[in-house]
Amino acid sequence: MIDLPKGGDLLRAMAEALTTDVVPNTTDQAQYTSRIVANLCLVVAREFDVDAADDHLRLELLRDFLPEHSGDLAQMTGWLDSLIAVNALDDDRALHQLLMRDVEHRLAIGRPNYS
Amino acid sequence: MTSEPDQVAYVAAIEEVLASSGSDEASVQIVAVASAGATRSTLLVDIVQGDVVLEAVAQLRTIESTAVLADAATEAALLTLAAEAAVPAARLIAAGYAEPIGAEVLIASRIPGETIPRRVLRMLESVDGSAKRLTAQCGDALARLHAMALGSQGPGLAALGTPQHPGAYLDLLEESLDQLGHPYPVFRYGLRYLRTILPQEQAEVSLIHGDFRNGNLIVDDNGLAAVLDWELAHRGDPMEDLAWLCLRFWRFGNDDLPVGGFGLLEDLKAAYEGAGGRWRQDAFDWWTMARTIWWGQGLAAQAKRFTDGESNSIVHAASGRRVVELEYDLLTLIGEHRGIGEHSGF
Repeated sequence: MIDLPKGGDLLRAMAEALTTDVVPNTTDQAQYTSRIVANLCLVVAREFDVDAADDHLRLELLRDFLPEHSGDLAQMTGWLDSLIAVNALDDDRALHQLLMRDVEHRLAIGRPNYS
Repeated sequence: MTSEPDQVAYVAAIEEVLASSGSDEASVQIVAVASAGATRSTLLVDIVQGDVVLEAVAQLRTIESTAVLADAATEAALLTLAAEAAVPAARLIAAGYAEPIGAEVLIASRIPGETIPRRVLRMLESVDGSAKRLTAQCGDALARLHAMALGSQGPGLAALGTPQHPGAYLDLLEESLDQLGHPYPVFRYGLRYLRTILPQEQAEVSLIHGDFRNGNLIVDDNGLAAVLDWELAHRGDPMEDLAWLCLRFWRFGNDDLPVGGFGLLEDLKAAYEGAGGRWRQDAFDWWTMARTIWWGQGLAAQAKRFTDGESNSIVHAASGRRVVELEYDLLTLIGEHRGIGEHSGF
């Protein structure tokens, strides 16, 4: 049983309330903070929307790229980071492509229209 | 907002610094608190001397903040130099250490105008030619700034340190990256790439503002009224300042206008060269990528302060979710530089 509205919808409503009711009625630091909080509500709402499948997709990309390594998303990211640090990855174009794909997945949450 | 006891102490501290610079009859009234933090506060104040009221800005900084930023004496020396070189900046009134509150105090003239980036952009959009004029003024100011530093060894400038070779700059970035406690493979990849394309020519060492960008410019009806926040100034490659001004992050959505979201690169370059500056494209490209990494890591460090419990600032928390924008920008810049980019957004 899930209570409604869902978390993501509540966060969007919170962002809307902040943007429409609070931001126009505040100034300076309070207005700036209200905008930041409204934006964070939307970020978290999008995070609610993206299900575990997206993380799984990111993990699969990393596993395909680093077949000799294993681990969860954080561990695989750590592997990638340390292999780049020691210049152990030869296919630079493929690496660039992998990094961009991962970034695009994360941008879908943090800033969907950023391109 | 600072508390009332704080404000009383701040007024006393500002009056003490004014007195030590010879204005012992001055009394101070706080008009507004522009920002108030644990290590730094900025106050708008009126300095009253008889019938004369001087509008000023007072910055109070604890020793913790001057560990990473220029101290008040250095910033005071920079403001004096800027005035001599006709770089638009606030006029120094007084600077010193206020023992009772354990803070350095810098007092400078208050300059009217707009600083909030999106409002600046709206102002410029409403008057034909004003954006191009501001772009040219930025190029001119930076050329003057970069020219004036040569040989300047005035009091207070010793703290600016010695310039770093680009390779050493990358070493420092790598060190900071290792301290973030979380892997950022995109920045690691960027650092690796930058080591392969170091600028060909050694830069002439200049005074670098360090934070010359939309948000630190006071803009009025005549364009650039003053450049703010000299606390990141250092000696280095002039192209660092020009690249920073053009970072996508400081365009505030106006991505087609690389110079602060209001100007074209060719106009900035023409003004900079017209005022005697020397534009080095390879160094400009290099610094654009290097400063993208620097700022991305800076945002990640702010987020780390939040997650480590050292800060409860919502701004620091939000910074963590903006790192990905810098990662995207960096990959795009590298892709375009190498001719393998899939995107050409900026």
